[in-house]
Amino acid sequence: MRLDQYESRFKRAAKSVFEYAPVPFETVLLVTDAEGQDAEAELERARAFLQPLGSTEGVRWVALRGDQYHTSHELVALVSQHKPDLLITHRSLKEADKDPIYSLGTYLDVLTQVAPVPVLVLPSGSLPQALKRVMVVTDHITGDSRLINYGAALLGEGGDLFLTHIEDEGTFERYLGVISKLPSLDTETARRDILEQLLKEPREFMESVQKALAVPGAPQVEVEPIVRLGRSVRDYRELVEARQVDLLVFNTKDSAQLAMHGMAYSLAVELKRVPLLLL
Amino acid sequence: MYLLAEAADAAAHAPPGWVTALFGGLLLCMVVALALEEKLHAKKSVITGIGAIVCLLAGQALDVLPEGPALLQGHELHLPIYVAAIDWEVIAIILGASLFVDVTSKSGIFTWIAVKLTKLSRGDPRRLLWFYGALTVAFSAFLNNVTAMIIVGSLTAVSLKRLKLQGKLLGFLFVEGLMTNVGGLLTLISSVPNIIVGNAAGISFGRFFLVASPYVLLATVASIYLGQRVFQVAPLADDEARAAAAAQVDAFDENDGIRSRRFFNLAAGMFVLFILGLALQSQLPLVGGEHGLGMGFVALAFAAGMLLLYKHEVDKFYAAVDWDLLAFFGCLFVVIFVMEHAAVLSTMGQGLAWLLDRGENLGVVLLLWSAAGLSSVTDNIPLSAMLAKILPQGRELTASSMEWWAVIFGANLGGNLTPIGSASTVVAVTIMAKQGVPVTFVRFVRLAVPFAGLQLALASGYVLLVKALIT
Repeated sequence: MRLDQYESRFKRAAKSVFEYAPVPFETVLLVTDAEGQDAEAELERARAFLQPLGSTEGVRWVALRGDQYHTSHELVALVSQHKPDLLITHRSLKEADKDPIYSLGTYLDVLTQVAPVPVLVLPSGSLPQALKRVMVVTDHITGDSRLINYGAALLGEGGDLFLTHIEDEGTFERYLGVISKLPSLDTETARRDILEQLLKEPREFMESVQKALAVPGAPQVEVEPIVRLGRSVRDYRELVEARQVDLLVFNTKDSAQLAMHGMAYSLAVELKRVPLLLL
Repeated sequence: MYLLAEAADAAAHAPPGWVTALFGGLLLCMVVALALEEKLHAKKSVITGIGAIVCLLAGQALDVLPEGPALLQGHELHLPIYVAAIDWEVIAIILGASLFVDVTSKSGIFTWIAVKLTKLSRGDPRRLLWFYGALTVAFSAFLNNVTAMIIVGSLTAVSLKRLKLQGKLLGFLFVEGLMTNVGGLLTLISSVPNIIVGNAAGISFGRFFLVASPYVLLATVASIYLGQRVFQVAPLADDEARAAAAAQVDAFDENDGIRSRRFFNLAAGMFVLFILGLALQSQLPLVGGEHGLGMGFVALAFAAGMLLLYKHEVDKFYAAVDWDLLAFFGCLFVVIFVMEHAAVLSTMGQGLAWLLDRGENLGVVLLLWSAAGLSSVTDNIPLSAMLAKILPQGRELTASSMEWWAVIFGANLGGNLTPIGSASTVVAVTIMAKQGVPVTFVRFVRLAVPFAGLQLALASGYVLLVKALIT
């Protein structure tokens, strides 16, 4: 018993620390169903939105027009040929319904599963003039430096980087419900200690982000940590609206699966008016 | 310990030979059962408890036990024989020290020291091995061997995993397991055999430290160096690896376990005072001297002082006390008391006399190696308790006699020969299994023999050197 106690203390003391790493962008590929001048206009619109990346020298901006592919296989092959560092696209490519309910469309579904690079999903309609407020979303942010590095890399100087970690209240309560039926565990102690540790780790990780991004050479952005217990999708939606977020960044896959995981898919289909960066 | 009125006349009605043989058999059964504790799935206290009950009943039936009231400085006390037989000073030291250490550890001071040292190593494996080895010795010396192994062993598992050095985990844990028994030699309270033998010999805390510390230093350096060679623990090769390792250990936060800086400082101060109190106990008014309150009182008083900080929840600390260990001691003292009156100890003393008669120096060395050999296969606590009783029989021994030290060195270091030789090596093996690097009994012995052999050889030479210097 004491062995486990000391091991827990040392595990607690071993912190996960954010590691800043610049994200290299050499090729940005826009996948659109528009053709000709419309495709070029769409590319310019994306460049304007993605400032400062849009005006960075040495970055190759390429548009893949709708007439260049006719099946998802062809699209995947073309994407592979270009070896992009960032894919930009929108929902419902080559579909009549441009405002679908609870769907990303066939092509985007495939891209999110097979593309080895981040996919930026732009909404239909107007885009903000430039990126000012980026929100990084995860329910397991600790140790996820890549997600934050992408968010910081796309954000302009002086922009706001919201780091959000919402611990799912439903899951937490379900486990507490089980604990409440185990006489060997004190329910109130478990509630207090588990919740404290669950929220402590992301808070500490976010503090390390603030420290790492405060040094010269790192993107000079304002970091605001948001850590709490809540209902993931509902709370993220409220936060996006309250903070007037220009871009939402989140993971879509974990190491054990190819397809989008539950919360990512829910966010992707529900937050249709916000640009999304899917990693 | 209390004197029993009839005890002085014990020799007058020595039991017949068959009675002595019967009780010798009972003792042997108990010792074997203790050695097979894991196989029997029975705690030490239960084994010795049954042993004590059987011995007391047999002793009473065969008229072996003394009768009459207990005497305390000439005053008669009506105590049951199984209460009077217990060495309460030893129990008080163990209970007081374990309560004090348990409350003090809540301040986070021990984890702070351990993490701080990890960061000082910059993540270099070789430096880490030396630091952890030395830390194990220090913690064993001032806490106890099991606690030292638990703290350093669990930190080793976490830090080596973080440094992606899991391949070296077995070597680290093995060396640390062996270092607990070396560190256990440093002070009078470092291990139970020290307390029992030191108490019987009348060795003060300060004298114990002065005699033991040069050997502990020598054995620590020699053992870690051997560990470094055997387990091929090399320093990091290049600057890139050094920078990466340093970044990994820098991410440890030594302050994470500190809930109150005030309590932390108080615990650190109290810990220093505790060590000083034990070291200077024999010189202190009221507690020192022949009729003083003794070291057990010092340990209990410090424990009570620290418990004041948790006065509303002392029950948690009482629950954490190792009652199995304390009950084991109590029952063991009762068994030894019965054995003494059944003439088992005096019979064993004859064998010991034969050993010591082999020569002034050879006798001491043989005693040391014999104690080590016995300690490697059975619990060193009953061994040292019995030897502490047997040794003075028919001999003029003083606190300076090296025979005591032969028992102390042998009983402690013998624990390094097998995985069941001491409680701390059992903990080391448990951590190895938990971390996915299990060792079999045979493999442990094969790995341990060079280390234990080196430590025992050094101890033999050291005991003879001190003996020559004293005489």
